[in-house]
Amino acid sequence: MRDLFHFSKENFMLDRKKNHVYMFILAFCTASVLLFFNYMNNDSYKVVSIGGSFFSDNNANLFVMTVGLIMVLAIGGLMYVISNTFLKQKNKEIAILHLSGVNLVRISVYFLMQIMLVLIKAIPLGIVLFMIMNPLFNGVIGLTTGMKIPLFYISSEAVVSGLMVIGIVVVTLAIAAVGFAYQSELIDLLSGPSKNSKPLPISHIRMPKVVWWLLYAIAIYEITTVSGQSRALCLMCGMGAIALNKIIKKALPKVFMLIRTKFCINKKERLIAIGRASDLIVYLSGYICITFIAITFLMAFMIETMSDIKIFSILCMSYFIIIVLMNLALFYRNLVETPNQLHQFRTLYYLGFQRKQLNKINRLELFILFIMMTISPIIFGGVMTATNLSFMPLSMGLILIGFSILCTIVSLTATYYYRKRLLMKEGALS
Amino acid sequence: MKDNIITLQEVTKVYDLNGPKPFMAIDQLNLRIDAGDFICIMGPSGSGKSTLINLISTIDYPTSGEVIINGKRSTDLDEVALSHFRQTEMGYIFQEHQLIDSITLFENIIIKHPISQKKKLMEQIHHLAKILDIDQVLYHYPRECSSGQNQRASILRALLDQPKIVVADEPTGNLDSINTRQLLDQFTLINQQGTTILMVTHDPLCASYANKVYYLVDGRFQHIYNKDDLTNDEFYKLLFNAIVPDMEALL
Repeated sequence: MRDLFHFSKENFMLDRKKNHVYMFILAFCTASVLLFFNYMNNDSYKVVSIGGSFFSDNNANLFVMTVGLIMVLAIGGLMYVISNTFLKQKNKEIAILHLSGVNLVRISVYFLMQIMLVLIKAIPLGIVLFMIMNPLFNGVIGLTTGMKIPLFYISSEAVVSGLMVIGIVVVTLAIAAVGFAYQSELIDLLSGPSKNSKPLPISHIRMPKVVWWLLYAIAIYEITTVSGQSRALCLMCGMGAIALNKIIKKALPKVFMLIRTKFCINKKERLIAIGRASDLIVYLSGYICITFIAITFLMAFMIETMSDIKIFSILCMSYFIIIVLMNLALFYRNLVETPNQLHQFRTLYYLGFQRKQLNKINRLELFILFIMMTISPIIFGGVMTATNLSFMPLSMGLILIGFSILCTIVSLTATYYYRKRLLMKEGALS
Repeated sequence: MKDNIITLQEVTKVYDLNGPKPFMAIDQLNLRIDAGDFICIMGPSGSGKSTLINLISTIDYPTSGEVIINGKRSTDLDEVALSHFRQTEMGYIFQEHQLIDSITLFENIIIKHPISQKKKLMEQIHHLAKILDIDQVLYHYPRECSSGQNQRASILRALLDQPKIVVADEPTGNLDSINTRQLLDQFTLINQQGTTILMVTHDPLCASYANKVYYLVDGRFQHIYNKDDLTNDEFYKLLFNAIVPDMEALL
């Protein structure tokens, strides 16, 4: 067991930069879970009659609790998704260990150790982050709402509940890590960690692509007819999310192919960048849709609760935290995937592409991804804000959309520079 | 006198030069590649074949010595000139197909070539695609094709527009015997039309198509066989004999 631990630790250290980003995201998730439990247990946040509130006191408190719970679930889900990305990079390691005669139990223990090496640092770091974020969270909400909230309030119940949830996530991650060694066929494991080159699963329900475009357009149109009703807005945004998911998977690859063959045949960098972006967008379709749902749903709730400054502030904080987390997750995914993509750039270099051309492809690819990630939230968020100006001022809508765009820019710029550094590194292309 | 394309003069390549264990992959090697040559490089694993091909194709630089391309030293050429050489004068066939997964085989083929004479190029693509038996999958993505089809697409990319020199690193590794023969026949054809071929292979059958065979061991040429100086029988016999020590070592 000791040799397995050392082997696990050595391999962990080989990828320590990526693992540190993963650890930081888990720490941030831990801090956020504790923060939301603390806020749900903080009596100072309990809503008391405020003029113009949409909710009765009981409903409002229920609403606050629900928001907190949804946030905790979302963060837990995100932790699971990121951990899955972490584990999927280990496909070849499992295959090699498996082929070397190591039995599946020992492989499972090996992955369990890898996850634990991250968690053992991430959870204490998360608690420290929570201690720093908590007074900031309370302070900002206190300042904006005028409520008297003790800055350093920490509920013991909250810490216990929060740690219990984190414990559940840890156990789930451990089971996932153990199960990961069993879940795949050896031949699939050896084919590499990237999902980009695998064909998409064939859906049993086949619809003409125009149906999804129509559904998307109808969702936008319906939003213009709904005013100040969060549930109806959420329904429309949900419809938009389903349409968006199908458009990304079914229709956009064809659109991109058409653009390539019609307009890019003589522009090699554009041709390759659009092709690569098309694949990347399909690969990140789930992530794009979840971000879209998070942005539009929270905006819809904010429109209805704008007059209730307490609930609104809490929704705002939730919005900012979830956007930061989503973009951290996006950066981590790109960080993990980039080295797997390096061989394609190397091929292009061998074929006579210059480094500046490779950089242009990199830039253009990420720009297309940026457009695809932000266009739908801008359209839906913009339409929601425009048709609900009596409920939410334009400036607020712009701040919310602007923040999400800014975070996406930061995340993709970091990805761009990371890729650029890898490409420019001496010997990376030879 | 044939036109010289690439010359290697006293070329040495050492990996990890300043590290604790420097490794000499190529040791003071001399090689002259002229227009119209069909050269094959053979040798056991780790003998320096891939390093040599990287140096010749300007992907890597020598530690000492000179690689002279069209009369100029590779170290004197800037990135633009080198990339122009690779794009216009050289066709590179990789050991594995190395296609971009996210674009079709057709797009993979044309990314290296300017489409100024679209009609002529399209005719060439379709003609070669038919010979290489990939005309049915030309507009498919690499993930939708077999590795053999992908390899043939990468071969088409390298042969298109008749480059001055084709550098092939184990080009037949993913091909069946019929496609291997077709490819080698195609190599012979374009070689007769003036294209220089430089091929790395383990396969004596492939090597038998070449005019000159260089046998590399520990970064140095151990044997050089020239078809013009020998009868066919002698040439083939020497080729098979050259790989016998490797086979014996393996056994």
